[in-house]
Amino acid sequence: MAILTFDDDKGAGDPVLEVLNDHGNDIFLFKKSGTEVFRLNKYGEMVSTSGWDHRVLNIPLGDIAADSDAFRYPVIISNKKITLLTAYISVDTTVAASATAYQTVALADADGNSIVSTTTAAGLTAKTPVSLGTLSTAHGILNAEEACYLTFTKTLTGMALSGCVLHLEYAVDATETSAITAEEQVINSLDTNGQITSDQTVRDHLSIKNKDDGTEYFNVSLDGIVEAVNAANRFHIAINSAGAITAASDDTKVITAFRANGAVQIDKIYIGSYASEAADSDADYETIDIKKNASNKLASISVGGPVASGLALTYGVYVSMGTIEEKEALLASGDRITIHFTATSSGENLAGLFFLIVYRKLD
Amino acid sequence: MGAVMTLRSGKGSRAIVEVNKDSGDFLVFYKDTVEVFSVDINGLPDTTCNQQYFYESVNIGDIVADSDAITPVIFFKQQAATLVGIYLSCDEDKALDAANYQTIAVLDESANSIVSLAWTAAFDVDTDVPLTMGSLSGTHKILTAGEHAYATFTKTLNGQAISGLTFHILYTVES
Repeated sequence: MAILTFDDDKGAGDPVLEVLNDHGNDIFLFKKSGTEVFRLNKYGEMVSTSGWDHRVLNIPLGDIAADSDAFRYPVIISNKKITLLTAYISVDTTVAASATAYQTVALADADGNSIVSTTTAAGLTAKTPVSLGTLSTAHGILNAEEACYLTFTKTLTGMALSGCVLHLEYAVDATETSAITAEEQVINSLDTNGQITSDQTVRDHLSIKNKDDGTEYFNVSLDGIVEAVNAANRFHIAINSAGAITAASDDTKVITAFRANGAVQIDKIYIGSYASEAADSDADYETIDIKKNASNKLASISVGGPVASGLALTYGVYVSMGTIEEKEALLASGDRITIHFTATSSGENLAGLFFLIVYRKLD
Repeated sequence: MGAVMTLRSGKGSRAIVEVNKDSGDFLVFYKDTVEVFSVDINGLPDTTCNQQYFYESVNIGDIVADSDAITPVIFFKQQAATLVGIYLSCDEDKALDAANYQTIAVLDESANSIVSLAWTAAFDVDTDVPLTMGSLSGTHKILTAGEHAYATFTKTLNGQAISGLTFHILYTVES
């Protein structure tokens, strides 16, 4: 039996449970046998020790040549502060051990500080992810708009890696840590039912507002849709490894980088490359358009030129593609984000492109 | 009419509502007796809305006509997850070919088939939405913590090269 049960079919427009707060309190703190497993803080951030908080990105890097020292692979950037949790690599074809010729795989923050590093001297088995090791607690925390990158540094003649994929796990940092320090049971029950239950036909279940001005910053609707307007962890990231683009084939290439499931809003799009590209030509350059489905443009940049307005890419660094066209930023379920390439004059060959999309789920 | 219960706080550092228990859900919201949102004993928020789904775009690049030997890992997560849907796209138009094609399969870590598709159909990069691989195995789509899924390619006759093959993966997080 629940301790608090709300069963109501009246009162449309008003929530069942309203919390008015302007202080440092968490709204909810849930503990499993005395250990915190969930809290809803004053910013409307749901912080959970479950896999819900642990975001994962599987980032294909393609074939790594034996000598790939010249490249830096952009890994991730976020509009909010994040903590990297684990990093693994895998290959699509087994490569034998070599104690003399191998790669040192290193993940570094934007300032070049090592987050983690390991070697491939032991070889890699196909379809078997291998941990890069324990991540630095100092440098594995990336501030908003701080990128990190991956490098492969050969020893002797190096080691070629076929179909390499980086598997990265991260969490979006809560805006503040829990204020709770003491151990106390405010509500407890021995049975297994929900402790706070609400069964409604018209009301929202939960609304959290500023105590003084009534501004709502967290809501759970009648349908269970969570709206947390200020929460850092409402943002999600998708990465597409576009690979090499050759000017000769650009007109035929359209990359489907994202498929919406449910309504989403696109907030930012970044581009990165594992090789630097200067904006050094007014005649030959590549225009990259990001579109909703295949026609409605969200963002556009030119790479390789023109000199005055083109975007220069620095290897290993994600840069914003600029302001998103607001009216195209809302995607319905099934809508796509596609990437298109157009050459001006001879165009530009682009090596190892990556696109990173920041979005939020709306329903 | 106002809220049924209003909690007002301007002081103190403790949580407004604190629950400590050993089993069962902490919080359950129903819409006319059907559960729509909960927080379970492991702190997992769960909703029946689209916010329950997580998404991955995994572009493994160009697949040559004979790619039978490669087995790229396309999904790996340290926590338990259930794959909900897997979709395919490519970045250059692909012709219909019922004789030469790839059978693309996704398998769990123990090599059990999660889903398999003989991709004979054409794909128009301008107009086609990602192609569903079909219904996933009810048993093997559930991946335990730290279990990965990988792809295989099996050519029929001469096979078919695919440019910029991307897996679009939808999954939910398990408690």
